[in-house]
Amino acid sequence: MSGIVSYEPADMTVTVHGDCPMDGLTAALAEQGQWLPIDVALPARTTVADLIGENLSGPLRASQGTVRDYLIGLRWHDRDGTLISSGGRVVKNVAGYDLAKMHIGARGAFGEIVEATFKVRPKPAHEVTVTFECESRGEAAAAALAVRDLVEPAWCVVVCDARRTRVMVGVMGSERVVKAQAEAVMGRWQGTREEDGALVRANLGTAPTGSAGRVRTTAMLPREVGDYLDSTNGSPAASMVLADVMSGVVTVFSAPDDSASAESPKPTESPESVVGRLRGALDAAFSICRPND
Amino acid sequence: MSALASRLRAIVGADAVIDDAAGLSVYDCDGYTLERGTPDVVVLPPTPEKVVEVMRLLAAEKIPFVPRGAGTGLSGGTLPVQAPVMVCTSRLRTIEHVDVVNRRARVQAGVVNAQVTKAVAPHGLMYAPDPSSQPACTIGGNIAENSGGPHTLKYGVTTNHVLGVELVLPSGEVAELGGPVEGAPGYDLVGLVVGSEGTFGIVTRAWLRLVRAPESFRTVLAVFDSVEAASETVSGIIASGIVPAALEMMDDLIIEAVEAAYHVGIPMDAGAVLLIELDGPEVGLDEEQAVVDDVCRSHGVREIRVAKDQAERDLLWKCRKRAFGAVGRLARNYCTQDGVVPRTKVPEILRRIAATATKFDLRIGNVFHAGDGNIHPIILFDERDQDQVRRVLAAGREILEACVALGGSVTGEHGIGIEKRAQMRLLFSDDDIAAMKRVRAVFDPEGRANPHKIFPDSKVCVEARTPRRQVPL
Repeated sequence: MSGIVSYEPADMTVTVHGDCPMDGLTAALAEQGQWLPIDVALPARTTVADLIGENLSGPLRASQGTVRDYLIGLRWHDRDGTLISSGGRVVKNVAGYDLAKMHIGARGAFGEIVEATFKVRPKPAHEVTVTFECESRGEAAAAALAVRDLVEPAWCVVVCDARRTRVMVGVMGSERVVKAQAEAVMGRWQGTREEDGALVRANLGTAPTGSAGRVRTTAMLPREVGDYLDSTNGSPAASMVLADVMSGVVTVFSAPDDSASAESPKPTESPESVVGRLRGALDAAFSICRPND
Repeated sequence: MSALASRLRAIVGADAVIDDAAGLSVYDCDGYTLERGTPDVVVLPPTPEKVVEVMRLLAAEKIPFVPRGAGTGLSGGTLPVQAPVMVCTSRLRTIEHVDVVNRRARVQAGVVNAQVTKAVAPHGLMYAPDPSSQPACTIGGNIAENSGGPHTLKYGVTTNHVLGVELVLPSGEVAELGGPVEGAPGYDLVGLVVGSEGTFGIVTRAWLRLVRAPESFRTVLAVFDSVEAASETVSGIIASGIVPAALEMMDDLIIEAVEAAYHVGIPMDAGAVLLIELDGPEVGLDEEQAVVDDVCRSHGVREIRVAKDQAERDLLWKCRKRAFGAVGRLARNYCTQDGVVPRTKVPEILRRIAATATKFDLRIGNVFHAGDGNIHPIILFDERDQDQVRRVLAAGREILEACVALGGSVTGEHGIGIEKRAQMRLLFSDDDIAAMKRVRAVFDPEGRANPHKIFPDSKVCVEARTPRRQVPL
């Protein structure tokens, strides 16, 4: 398919163009029973370059990691048009600096991504979801960590809206493993089981944003999620909260009229700090002028 | 230099500075023994804060330095080349914080890799990266080299498990990069520092990710008549959709050495063995093992042995991780190479290695991470024979060139160091290397941190001797 430069399933690596759409990549991998296990909310409208530049991730990050765990090689045109490569096409490689890393989350600041190589994995045969309700948001966050310690969930999120608070647990693997893990969770918290866990997970990323809604993502320690969720309770700004407790990533979906929550993720260090100055020097080294975003 | 030594002593104390010839000789090489060089002074700061003071002094005097952990590196990354001062992090041995709920640990750079897992095991957790030198190597060294190990097939390498670092820049400033919280905004600087081989400064502390220790294991030793059959089995297991925790191969020469050392009962006429480890929830392991058994049988496996308890598992892993040491029984000296090929090219690279061995009239054994395509040919030789030494070096180069020709890399986990600077040209253009240098200059504008490493155009001669010490276990 277009956008794929080379794909050898037995090597479990794939090389794609930067403008390759994520839905096409996912389909090509699925034909071979493999996947790049990173959640992308709108795969038809997201390219590989977007995936890297925005450092996109979703609930699967809890067990599968993020872009930085899969990107093994990169070619890009820098701001002067020079073609630069780092890494390669093999899964282990420590030759030279891992320059691909600085593109992750950089929103294309270092230039245009021409080609990216990813490790891929066998796609688990089954993914099942167990959902149960909790009385409070804090209790749900505690339950999510208890789920983590009881079984080996692929993902586990707390979903809060004005009406209720639910814990959703995704388990993946062979039929036996999925059955045992789902039963373990239901044995302790009851709840309901849904067979198409991948669909449930895909819908989590897109459901509440709508056309004009705002999304704010905050990172914290897993243990801190409970208090944070309790603090969002009753806030009219938050129409829905999705908390990946295992990773400590909380996403607040708000109504479009709530301007207070309009935030784009920017580095938190001040430009005067040591780290801030390092970032500034790195930007300057690659002739980047940052617009006031 | 004695003036500098006394100023360093004023900072770290008399027992933490070495500048006598006998003391310095310990530091004249690491696990890569083909080249040597002695620093003028070695300083072993007792705390991260003292590292900062030392670095400030070196900055004020514009003195280049080389960082060192336990000295188990295999590419000469800690060889001093026009760097008078060696800064060792080996005394920074405190595990500062184990956060069980959040599954993180904050450790100092000199903490030994295996000590992290030992400290967190009572909580059912582990630190996943497990290089063969893990009883000795330090977390700081692992971060510098982005170390791997047998279990990286499932769990990933060092960079996948480091959430943050405290980096003392050559200027003496301290940069806190990343931290215990994942997913903080801004592009990834931690990932840039991991694997930078000490050329950005000195890492003094790190936040590590801890993972749940597997509920259960199946550790399988599968015996084959040929490396071809074992290689095809590796491909078959990967294609089956199972991700083993580890998938390691040892060929006949290594079997001979390991059997002589550890008496495991591997048939001496076997062509190759695979060490296959499956881990995860107990409920899933029997069916995974059945698949592995089927794949092995379809490639003519001679014998499948499953470790029946932890003691047997430990023995099988001891054979694998100490295979390098066992090889010492077969020859006076040996040299370990490190290269990578795409997984499907493992049979081809093994054929090419055999051809190289014949061409240069050398014995070459293979013990390696087959599931990752990460090869470790071990070339046997006798240092007293200068012609053999020359052939060993030529054979090593030929094998690395073959790896690159097959679409791979010249190093999967040992690093470029001093050893493979020239081979960088096999992989990277002038523009690629210039981009790396631009990044280096951001962290180390004066080029004082581990100078003359990684980059191929350093025209510096180092003292090349024949090896006299073997790779530490």
